[in-house]
Amino acid sequence: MSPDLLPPARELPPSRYRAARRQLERVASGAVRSWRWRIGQRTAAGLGVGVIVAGGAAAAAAAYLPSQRGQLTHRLDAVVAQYGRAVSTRSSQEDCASIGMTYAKGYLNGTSTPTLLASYTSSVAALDKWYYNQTVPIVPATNALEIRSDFNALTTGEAPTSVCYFLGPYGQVFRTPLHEVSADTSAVLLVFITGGRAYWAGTVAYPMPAVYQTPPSA
Amino acid sequence: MSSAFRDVPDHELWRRASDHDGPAFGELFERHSKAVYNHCFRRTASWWVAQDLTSVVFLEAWRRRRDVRMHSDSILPWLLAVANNCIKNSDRSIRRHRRLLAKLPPEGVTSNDEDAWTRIEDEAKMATILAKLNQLRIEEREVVALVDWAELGCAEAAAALSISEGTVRSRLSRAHEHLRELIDSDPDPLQHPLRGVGPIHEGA
Repeated sequence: MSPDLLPPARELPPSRYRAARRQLERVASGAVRSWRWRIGQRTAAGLGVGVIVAGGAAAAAAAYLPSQRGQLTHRLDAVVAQYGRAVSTRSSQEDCASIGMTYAKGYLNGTSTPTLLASYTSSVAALDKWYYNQTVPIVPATNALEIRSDFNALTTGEAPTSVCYFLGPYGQVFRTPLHEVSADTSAVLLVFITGGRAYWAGTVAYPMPAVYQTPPSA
Repeated sequence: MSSAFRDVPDHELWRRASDHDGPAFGELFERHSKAVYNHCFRRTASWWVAQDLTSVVFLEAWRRRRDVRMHSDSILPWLLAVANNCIKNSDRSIRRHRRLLAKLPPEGVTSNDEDAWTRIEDEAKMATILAKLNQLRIEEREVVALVDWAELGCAEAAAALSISEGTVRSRLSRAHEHLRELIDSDPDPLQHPLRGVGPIHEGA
């Protein structure tokens, strides 16, 4: 079956190419701590994650009060309005953002059962703590690197991609394209990064692939 | 390709990368990222997913650097094998995504970004081809993707899949035969998305 039949091959978009290459070079040069090192710290990490998760749960209980719910929905409405056009164009990342927002909004309107709601403050603080100070090393190296790269890109004004971060059941933090957001299982949405800005959009349910549902092995 | 690495073979670059030579790893990315990117697109029908998967493939390759298998001094077959594994793990989420899309109400298209349009059309076309191709067994799909689409030799595909070259040839032959049957059984075989392609065309 000839490749001539297929859509023509493309180059990676320049921004993605540069970001990926820079990231890989940093990985190979050992500028980032290894997965083995991270695993070696898992006991302390587990404690740290436990504290953060417990804090997030407490914040969730408080934030989900009906009086605050309208405010959350309002904030989400603004984000959906900004990215709503993408639903109609079905164009890659914006499309993904809209779907994610749609489901997040569905939750806030009470159409699905919440499991946990993390506040923007605690989420970003947690990410900052985990990735800049590396106090919680139970993070797959690849995801940790991408998150760091995304946050660096935010601070330098180089728009990264549409991604969301969520907390795995064993305290791992994962990065995922927004299109993977669905409504039939649960996880914590920490923050969206899209169009060079970070948004908090409450909690969405997430279909976690099996690989994420197993604890990290030493 | 940067001049410093122009004549350096893959195996040497990989050795240097394993010794924490970042630019060497960057050079491998430059050499092979396009092939990995397009391979991922052809298996997922999504440029967006392919972009993410390309990064994941190289990072996963780095993580598994002690397992690397070179073939004819090219690391590409092994990278495509890693890509296959990454794609398999993402399949379930991608299927959910498509079900989600199907549930969304249709709306008018407002984008005037020509490149975005082309990408969307590419994705639609690729999705049609994949839907047909998915009627084959996964082993057959893999050899079609590696040999026919990524244009690896049978020996390279065999190295990527950890099977014998003879097995690659027989799977490829069966895959082409099944594709011919699919085309022939179509009510309008002249419009079949898989028609007009090398060895399949001959028997169609």
